[in-house]
Amino acid sequence: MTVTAKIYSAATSPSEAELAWRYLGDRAHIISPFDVTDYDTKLDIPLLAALVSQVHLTQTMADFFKTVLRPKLEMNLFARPVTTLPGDPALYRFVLTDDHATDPTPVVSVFGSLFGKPKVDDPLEGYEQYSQANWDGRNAEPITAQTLQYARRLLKVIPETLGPPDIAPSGDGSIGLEWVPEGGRLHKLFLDIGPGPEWRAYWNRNGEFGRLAGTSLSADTRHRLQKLFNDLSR
Amino acid sequence: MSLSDGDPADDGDIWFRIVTQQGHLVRGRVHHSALGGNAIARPKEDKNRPWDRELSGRLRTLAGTLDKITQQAQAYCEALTARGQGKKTFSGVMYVRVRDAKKSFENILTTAIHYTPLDDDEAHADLTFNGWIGDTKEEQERFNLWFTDMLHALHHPGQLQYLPEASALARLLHCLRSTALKAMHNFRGGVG
Repeated sequence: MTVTAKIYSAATSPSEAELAWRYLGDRAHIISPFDVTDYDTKLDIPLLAALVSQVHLTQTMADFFKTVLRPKLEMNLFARPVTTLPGDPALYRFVLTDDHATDPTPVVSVFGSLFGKPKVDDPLEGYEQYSQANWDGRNAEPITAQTLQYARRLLKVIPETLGPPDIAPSGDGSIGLEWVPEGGRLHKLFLDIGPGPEWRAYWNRNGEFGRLAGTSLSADTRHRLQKLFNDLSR
Repeated sequence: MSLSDGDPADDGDIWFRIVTQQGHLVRGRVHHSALGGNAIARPKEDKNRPWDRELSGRLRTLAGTLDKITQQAQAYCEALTARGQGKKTFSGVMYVRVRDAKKSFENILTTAIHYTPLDDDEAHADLTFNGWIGDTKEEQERFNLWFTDMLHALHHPGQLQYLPEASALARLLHCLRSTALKAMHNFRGGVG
Protein backbone atom coordinates (compact mmCIF):
# COMPACT_ATOMS: atom_id res chain seq x y z
CA MET A 1 0.00 0.00 0.00
CA THR A 2 1.04 3.58 -0.45
CA VAL A 3 2.52 5.06 2.62
CA THR A 4 0.90 8.20 3.94
CA ALA A 5 3.03 9.29 6.81
CA LYS A 6 1.39 12.15 8.61
CA ILE A 7 3.89 13.43 11.10
CA TYR A 8 1.40 15.57 12.95
CA SER A 9 3.22 15.55 16.21
CA ALA A 10 6.68 14.41 15.31
CA ALA A 11 8.39 17.73 15.39
CA THR A 12 7.88 20.49 17.88
CA SER A 13 11.42 21.83 17.82
CA PRO A 14 14.27 22.03 15.30
CA SER A 15 16.05 19.13 16.97
CA GLU A 16 12.96 16.99 16.65
CA ALA A 17 12.60 18.06 13.06
CA GLU A 18 16.09 16.78 12.41
CA LEU A 19 15.14 13.53 14.02
CA ALA A 20 12.09 13.29 11.83
CA TRP A 21 14.14 13.86 8.72
CA ARG A 22 16.45 11.11 9.77
CA TYR A 23 13.48 8.91 10.42
CA LEU A 24 12.23 9.52 6.92
CA GLY A 25 15.59 8.66 5.45
CA ASP A 26 15.59 5.34 7.27
CA ARG A 27 12.01 4.64 6.49
CA ALA A 28 12.25 4.65 2.73
CA HIS A 29 15.25 2.33 2.79
CA ILE A 30 17.02 4.49 0.25
CA ILE A 31 20.04 4.96 2.40
CA SER A 32 20.34 4.36 6.07
CA PRO A 33 21.08 6.00 8.30
CA PHE A 34 21.03 9.51 6.89
CA ASP A 35 23.22 12.02 8.63
CA VAL A 36 21.17 15.17 8.66
CA THR A 37 24.19 17.34 9.30
CA ASP A 38 25.77 16.24 6.03
CA TYR A 39 23.57 18.44 3.86
CA ASP A 40 25.90 18.99 0.95
CA THR A 41 26.37 15.44 -0.14
CA LYS A 42 23.17 13.76 0.92
CA LEU A 43 20.59 16.47 0.88
CA ASP A 44 18.46 14.80 -1.74
CA ILE A 45 18.07 11.60 0.19
CA PRO A 46 15.65 12.54 2.93
CA LEU A 47 13.77 14.70 0.47
CA LEU A 48 13.38 11.83 -1.89
CA ALA A 49 12.32 9.66 1.00
CA ALA A 50 9.78 12.24 2.04
CA LEU A 51 8.45 12.71 -1.44
CA VAL A 52 7.93 9.12 -2.34
CA SER A 53 6.40 8.56 1.06
CA GLN A 54 3.79 11.27 0.52
CA VAL A 55 4.81 12.91 3.70
CA HIS A 56 2.85 15.69 5.24
CA LEU A 57 4.97 18.12 7.20
CA THR A 58 4.20 19.96 10.36
CA GLN A 59 4.76 23.69 10.61
CA THR A 60 8.07 23.15 12.38
CA MET A 61 9.33 20.72 9.80
CA ALA A 62 8.21 22.97 6.98
CA ASP A 63 10.06 25.88 8.60
CA PHE A 64 13.12 23.71 8.93
CA PHE A 65 12.90 22.84 5.28
CA LYS A 66 12.50 26.45 4.19
CA THR A 67 15.24 27.94 6.31
CA VAL A 68 17.85 25.20 6.39
CA LEU A 69 17.36 22.74 3.60
CA ARG A 70 15.70 24.72 0.83
CA PRO A 71 18.59 27.17 0.27
CA LYS A 72 20.92 24.25 -0.32
CA LEU A 73 18.66 22.51 -2.79
CA GLU A 74 18.91 22.89 -6.54
CA MET A 75 15.35 21.88 -7.25
CA ASN A 76 12.20 23.87 -7.85
CA LEU A 77 10.68 22.41 -4.73
CA PHE A 78 8.44 24.08 -2.20
CA ALA A 79 6.53 23.25 0.92
CA ARG A 80 2.93 24.11 0.27
CA PRO A 81 0.13 24.28 2.89
CA VAL A 82 -2.59 21.69 2.57
CA THR A 83 -6.18 22.15 3.62
CA THR A 84 -6.84 21.02 7.15
CA LEU A 85 -9.84 21.18 9.38
CA PRO A 86 -10.20 24.18 11.72
CA GLY A 87 -8.27 23.48 14.89
CA ASP A 88 -6.03 20.85 13.32
CA PRO A 89 -2.31 21.56 13.07
CA ALA A 90 -1.04 23.20 9.91
CA LEU A 91 0.32 20.73 7.40
CA TYR A 92 2.49 21.09 4.34
CA ARG A 93 3.41 18.93 1.43
CA PHE A 94 6.00 19.23 -1.29
CA VAL A 95 5.07 20.62 -4.67
CA LEU A 96 7.07 21.36 -7.81
CA THR A 97 6.08 24.98 -8.14
CA ASP A 98 5.30 27.94 -5.96
CA ASP A 99 2.44 29.09 -8.17
CA HIS A 100 -0.37 29.38 -5.68
CA ALA A 101 -2.86 30.29 -8.38
CA THR A 102 -2.82 26.85 -9.83
CA ASP A 103 -3.03 23.40 -8.47
CA PRO A 104 0.50 22.20 -8.92
CA THR A 105 1.28 18.60 -9.48
CA PRO A 106 2.43 17.06 -6.23
CA VAL A 107 6.03 16.06 -6.49
CA VAL A 108 5.11 12.67 -5.18
CA SER A 109 3.26 11.85 -8.36
CA VAL A 110 6.35 12.75 -10.40
CA PHE A 111 8.53 10.49 -8.32
CA GLY A 112 5.80 7.92 -8.31
CA SER A 113 5.82 7.79 -12.09
CA LEU A 114 9.59 7.49 -12.10
CA PHE A 115 10.07 4.93 -9.39
CA GLY A 116 6.64 3.51 -8.77
CA LYS A 117 4.79 3.89 -5.53
CA PRO A 118 6.71 2.62 -2.57
CA LYS A 119 5.45 -0.59 -1.09
CA VAL A 120 5.87 -0.62 2.65
CA ASP A 121 4.00 -3.21 4.65
CA ASP A 122 1.86 -1.77 7.38
CA PRO A 123 1.67 -4.39 10.13
CA LEU A 124 -1.31 -2.49 11.52
CA GLU A 125 -3.24 -2.40 8.30
CA GLY A 126 -6.94 -2.70 9.03
CA TYR A 127 -6.61 -1.76 12.70
CA GLU A 128 -9.04 1.10 12.16
CA GLN A 129 -11.75 -1.56 12.62
CA TYR A 130 -10.90 -1.54 16.34
CA SER A 131 -11.55 2.17 16.74
CA GLN A 132 -15.06 1.65 18.07
CA ALA A 133 -15.92 0.48 21.55
CA ASN A 134 -17.03 -3.12 21.86
CA TRP A 135 -15.14 -4.16 18.73
CA ASP A 136 -14.89 -7.68 20.12
CA GLY A 137 -18.52 -7.98 21.19
CA ARG A 138 -17.24 -8.25 24.77
CA ASN A 139 -17.15 -4.55 25.65
CA ALA A 140 -13.59 -3.94 24.53
CA GLU A 141 -12.14 -0.46 24.80
CA PRO A 142 -11.54 1.21 21.42
CA ILE A 143 -8.05 1.46 20.01
CA THR A 144 -8.02 5.18 19.43
CA ALA A 145 -6.62 6.97 16.41
CA GLN A 146 -3.98 8.45 18.72
CA THR A 147 -2.88 5.01 19.91
CA LEU A 148 -2.84 3.65 16.38
CA GLN A 149 -0.88 6.59 15.03
CA TYR A 150 1.62 6.29 17.85
CA ALA A 151 1.94 2.54 17.35
CA ARG A 152 2.69 3.01 13.66
CA ARG A 153 5.42 5.49 14.52
CA LEU A 154 6.87 3.33 17.26
CA LEU A 155 6.91 0.23 15.08
CA LYS A 156 9.25 2.03 12.73
CA VAL A 157 11.90 2.34 15.40
CA ILE A 158 11.53 -1.07 16.98
CA PRO A 159 14.68 -3.04 16.20
CA GLU A 160 14.56 -6.09 13.95
CA THR A 161 17.04 -7.91 16.15
CA LEU A 162 14.48 -10.46 17.33
CA GLY A 163 12.55 -10.61 14.06
CA PRO A 164 9.05 -9.33 13.41
CA PRO A 165 6.66 -9.33 16.37
CA ASP A 166 3.32 -11.07 16.58
CA ILE A 167 0.83 -8.23 16.88
CA ALA A 168 -2.71 -8.34 18.19
CA PRO A 169 -5.35 -5.88 19.42
CA SER A 170 -6.20 -5.94 23.10
CA GLY A 171 -9.56 -5.34 24.73
CA ASP A 172 -8.02 -2.69 26.98
CA GLY A 173 -7.42 -0.40 23.98
CA SER A 174 -3.75 -1.22 23.58
CA ILE A 175 -1.85 -3.06 20.86
CA GLY A 176 0.22 -6.03 22.01
CA LEU A 177 3.49 -7.15 20.45
CA GLU A 178 5.17 -10.46 21.24
CA TRP A 179 8.47 -12.12 20.56
CA VAL A 180 8.75 -15.71 21.71
CA PRO A 181 12.05 -17.15 20.48
CA GLU A 182 12.25 -20.92 20.14
CA GLY A 183 15.63 -21.16 21.82
CA GLY A 184 17.98 -19.09 23.89
CA ARG A 185 17.76 -17.46 27.25
CA LEU A 186 14.94 -15.09 26.37
CA HIS A 187 11.68 -16.89 27.05
CA LYS A 188 9.26 -14.13 26.10
CA LEU A 189 9.27 -10.43 25.32
CA PHE A 190 5.97 -8.55 25.30
CA LEU A 191 5.57 -4.91 24.35
CA ASP A 192 2.26 -3.13 24.84
CA ILE A 193 1.58 0.11 23.00
CA GLY A 194 -1.07 2.43 24.42
CA PRO A 195 -3.65 3.36 25.26
CA GLY A 196 -2.25 6.72 24.21
CA PRO A 197 1.37 7.55 23.44
CA GLU A 198 3.12 5.14 25.79
CA TRP A 199 4.71 1.72 25.66
CA ARG A 200 5.77 -0.95 28.11
CA ALA A 201 8.19 -3.74 27.31
CA TYR A 202 8.46 -6.67 29.73
CA TRP A 203 10.11 -9.99 29.48
CA ASN A 204 11.11 -13.24 31.08
CA ARG A 205 14.75 -14.12 30.58
CA ASN A 206 16.41 -16.94 32.43
CA GLY A 207 13.34 -17.05 34.62
CA GLU A 208 13.76 -13.44 35.67
CA PHE A 209 11.29 -10.67 35.06
CA GLY A 210 12.33 -7.35 33.57
CA ARG A 211 10.56 -4.28 32.29
CA LEU A 212 11.16 -1.01 30.49
CA ALA A 213 8.61 1.69 29.75
CA GLY A 214 8.49 4.90 27.80
CA THR A 215 6.22 7.65 26.60
CA SER A 216 6.04 9.67 23.44
CA LEU A 217 8.75 9.17 20.83
CA SER A 218 11.96 10.97 21.52
CA ALA A 219 15.45 10.79 20.13
CA ASP A 220 16.23 8.45 22.97
CA THR A 221 13.48 5.93 22.20
CA ARG A 222 15.20 4.15 19.33
CA HIS A 223 18.44 4.00 21.32
CA ARG A 224 16.74 2.53 24.40
CA LEU A 225 14.89 -0.06 22.38
CA GLN A 226 17.97 -1.04 20.41
CA LYS A 227 19.95 -1.48 23.61
CA LEU A 228 17.16 -3.55 25.12
CA PHE A 229 16.91 -5.82 22.10
CA ASN A 230 20.67 -6.20 21.95
CA ASP A 231 20.81 -7.13 25.62
CA LEU A 232 17.94 -9.59 25.34
CA SER A 233 19.33 -11.30 22.27
CA ARG A 234 22.63 -12.19 23.95
CA MET B 1 -23.60 -37.49 40.76
CA SER B 2 -23.86 -34.92 38.04
CA LEU B 3 -21.73 -31.82 38.02
CA SER B 4 -23.57 -28.97 39.67
CA ASP B 5 -23.12 -25.27 39.13
CA GLY B 6 -19.87 -24.22 40.76
CA ASP B 7 -18.34 -27.67 41.04
CA PRO B 8 -14.70 -28.17 40.11
CA ALA B 9 -14.29 -29.92 36.78
CA ASP B 10 -12.71 -33.38 36.53
CA ASP B 11 -8.96 -33.35 36.24
CA GLY B 12 -9.04 -35.32 33.01
CA ASP B 13 -11.43 -32.97 31.23
CA ILE B 14 -10.43 -30.23 28.82
CA TRP B 15 -11.41 -26.58 29.21
CA PHE B 16 -11.47 -24.53 26.04
CA ARG B 17 -12.48 -21.03 24.98
CA ILE B 18 -13.63 -19.84 21.59
CA VAL B 19 -11.35 -17.22 20.02
CA THR B 20 -12.83 -14.70 17.60
CA GLN B 21 -9.73 -12.67 16.68
CA GLN B 22 -7.24 -14.33 14.38
CA GLY B 23 -4.26 -12.50 15.87
CA HIS B 24 -5.00 -13.83 19.33
CA LEU B 25 -3.66 -17.25 18.41
CA VAL B 26 -0.11 -17.50 17.17
CA ARG B 27 1.59 -20.72 16.12
CA GLY B 28 0.13 -22.88 18.87
CA ARG B 29 0.15 -20.30 21.62
CA VAL B 30 -2.18 -17.65 22.93
CA HIS B 31 -1.26 -14.03 22.40
CA HIS B 32 -1.42 -12.07 25.64
CA SER B 33 -3.70 -9.51 23.99
CA ALA B 34 -6.40 -12.18 24.03
CA LEU B 35 -6.55 -11.71 27.80
CA GLY B 36 -6.91 -7.94 27.82
CA GLY B 37 -9.95 -5.84 28.57
CA ASN B 38 -12.89 -7.73 30.00
CA ALA B 39 -11.78 -11.26 29.09
CA ILE B 40 -10.88 -12.01 32.69
CA ALA B 41 -13.75 -10.57 34.68
CA ARG B 42 -15.19 -10.51 38.17
CA PRO B 43 -17.92 -13.09 38.67
CA LYS B 44 -21.45 -11.79 38.87
CA GLU B 45 -22.24 -10.79 42.44
CA ASP B 46 -25.53 -12.67 42.60
CA LYS B 47 -23.67 -15.90 41.91
CA ASN B 48 -21.65 -15.66 45.12
CA ARG B 49 -18.70 -17.44 43.59
CA PRO B 50 -15.83 -18.39 45.88
CA TRP B 51 -13.31 -17.04 43.36
CA ASP B 52 -12.24 -13.52 42.38
CA ARG B 53 -11.95 -13.58 38.59
CA GLU B 54 -13.04 -15.89 35.80
CA LEU B 55 -12.29 -16.56 32.16
CA SER B 56 -15.25 -17.96 30.33
CA GLY B 57 -15.05 -21.23 28.37
CA ARG B 58 -16.49 -24.73 27.96
CA LEU B 59 -15.85 -28.33 28.98
CA ARG B 60 -14.90 -30.89 26.37
CA THR B 61 -16.93 -33.73 27.87
CA LEU B 62 -20.12 -31.68 27.77
CA ALA B 63 -19.59 -29.83 24.51
CA GLY B 64 -20.17 -32.85 22.28
CA THR B 65 -18.52 -33.73 18.99
CA LEU B 66 -16.14 -31.47 17.11
CA ASP B 67 -18.95 -30.73 14.69
CA LYS B 68 -21.15 -29.60 17.56
CA ILE B 69 -18.32 -27.52 19.00
CA THR B 70 -17.83 -25.87 15.62
CA GLN B 71 -21.53 -25.20 15.18
CA GLN B 72 -21.78 -23.71 18.66
CA ALA B 73 -18.70 -21.54 18.05
CA GLN B 74 -20.06 -20.25 14.77
CA ALA B 75 -23.41 -19.47 16.36
CA TYR B 76 -21.56 -17.71 19.18
CA CYS B 77 -19.64 -15.59 16.67
CA GLU B 78 -22.85 -14.69 14.88
CA ALA B 79 -24.36 -13.60 18.18
CA LEU B 80 -21.27 -11.52 18.98
CA THR B 81 -21.37 -9.99 15.53
CA ALA B 82 -24.94 -8.95 16.13
CA ARG B 83 -23.96 -7.35 19.45
CA GLY B 84 -20.64 -5.76 18.58
CA GLN B 85 -18.90 -3.77 15.90
CA GLY B 86 -17.93 -5.73 12.84
CA LYS B 87 -17.96 -9.38 11.92
CA LYS B 88 -16.55 -11.95 14.35
CA THR B 89 -15.09 -15.13 12.99
CA PHE B 90 -14.44 -18.42 14.70
CA SER B 91 -10.64 -18.39 14.59
CA GLY B 92 -9.83 -21.27 16.93
CA VAL B 93 -9.70 -22.20 20.57
CA MET B 94 -7.41 -21.80 23.53
CA TYR B 95 -7.42 -24.80 25.80
CA VAL B 96 -5.87 -26.48 28.82
CA ARG B 97 -6.41 -29.80 30.54
CA VAL B 98 -8.15 -29.24 33.87
CA ARG B 99 -5.35 -30.95 35.78
CA ASP B 100 -2.80 -28.59 34.21
CA ALA B 101 -4.92 -25.55 35.02
CA LYS B 102 -4.42 -26.01 38.74
CA LYS B 103 -1.56 -23.62 39.30
CA SER B 104 -0.33 -21.04 41.73
CA PHE B 105 1.12 -17.66 40.80
CA GLU B 106 3.62 -16.08 43.18
CA ASN B 107 1.53 -16.99 46.24
CA ILE B 108 -0.96 -14.41 45.00
CA LEU B 109 -3.56 -16.48 43.23
CA THR B 110 -4.50 -20.03 42.33
CA THR B 111 -6.27 -21.18 39.21
CA ALA B 112 -8.78 -23.97 38.57
CA ILE B 113 -11.67 -24.91 36.31
CA HIS B 114 -15.23 -24.76 37.61
CA TYR B 115 -18.42 -25.85 35.95
CA THR B 116 -20.73 -22.84 35.46
CA PRO B 117 -23.58 -23.78 33.13
CA LEU B 118 -25.61 -21.10 31.41
CA ASP B 119 -29.17 -21.22 30.15
CA ASP B 120 -27.91 -21.36 26.59
CA ASP B 121 -24.77 -23.39 27.20
CA GLU B 122 -24.85 -26.49 29.39
CA ALA B 123 -21.12 -27.04 28.75
CA HIS B 124 -20.08 -23.64 30.08
CA ALA B 125 -17.17 -23.58 32.54
CA ASP B 126 -14.84 -20.91 33.84
CA LEU B 127 -11.13 -20.87 34.34
CA THR B 128 -11.19 -19.33 37.79
CA PHE B 129 -8.75 -17.24 39.80
CA ASN B 130 -8.78 -17.40 43.57
CA GLY B 131 -7.03 -14.26 44.73
CA TRP B 132 -6.07 -11.57 42.26
CA ILE B 133 -3.14 -9.43 41.31
CA GLY B 134 -2.93 -5.73 42.17
CA ASP B 135 -3.69 -2.87 39.87
CA THR B 136 -0.18 -1.89 38.86
CA LYS B 137 1.12 -2.36 35.34
CA GLU B 138 4.01 -4.45 36.60
CA GLU B 139 1.74 -6.93 38.33
CA GLN B 140 -0.35 -7.24 35.18
CA GLU B 141 2.79 -7.78 33.14
CA ARG B 142 4.14 -10.50 35.42
CA PHE B 143 0.76 -12.17 35.26
CA ASN B 144 0.62 -12.01 31.45
CA LEU B 145 4.01 -13.67 31.12
CA TRP B 146 3.02 -16.40 33.53
CA PHE B 147 -0.54 -17.10 32.46
CA THR B 148 0.10 -17.34 28.72
CA ASP B 149 2.40 -20.28 29.44
CA MET B 150 -0.57 -22.26 30.72
CA LEU B 151 -2.67 -22.10 27.58
CA HIS B 152 -2.45 -23.87 24.24
CA ALA B 153 -3.95 -22.78 20.94
CA LEU B 154 -5.56 -24.43 17.93
CA HIS B 155 -6.47 -22.54 14.81
CA HIS B 156 -9.67 -22.93 12.88
CA PRO B 157 -10.11 -24.10 10.25
CA GLY B 158 -7.55 -26.88 10.11
CA GLN B 159 -6.57 -27.77 13.65
CA LEU B 160 -9.67 -28.37 15.71
CA GLN B 161 -9.31 -32.12 15.29
CA TYR B 162 -6.27 -31.85 17.56
CA LEU B 163 -8.36 -30.67 20.48
CA PRO B 164 -7.64 -33.41 23.02
CA GLU B 165 -10.33 -35.71 24.23
CA ALA B 166 -11.07 -35.74 27.90
CA SER B 167 -9.37 -38.64 29.65
CA ALA B 168 -11.12 -42.01 29.73
CA LEU B 169 -11.91 -41.52 33.39
CA ALA B 170 -13.46 -38.11 32.80
CA ARG B 171 -15.55 -39.52 29.96
CA LEU B 172 -16.60 -42.49 32.12
CA LEU B 173 -17.66 -40.16 34.91
CA HIS B 174 -19.59 -38.08 32.44
CA CYS B 175 -21.37 -41.22 31.13
CA LEU B 176 -22.21 -42.35 34.65
CA ARG B 177 -23.60 -38.94 35.49
CA SER B 178 -25.69 -38.84 32.35
CA THR B 179 -27.02 -42.34 33.03
CA ALA B 180 -27.79 -41.45 36.63
CA LEU B 181 -29.59 -38.30 35.52
CA LYS B 182 -31.71 -40.21 33.04
CA ALA B 183 -32.52 -42.85 35.66
CA MET B 184 -33.57 -40.18 38.15
CA HIS B 185 -35.62 -38.47 35.47
CA ASN B 186 -37.40 -41.74 34.63
CA PHE B 187 -37.88 -42.59 38.29
CA ARG B 188 -39.66 -39.28 38.82
CA GLY B 189 -42.00 -40.05 35.98
CA GLY B 190 -40.48 -37.59 33.60
CA VAL B 191 -40.59 -39.98 30.64
CA GLY B 192 -42.12 -38.52 27.56
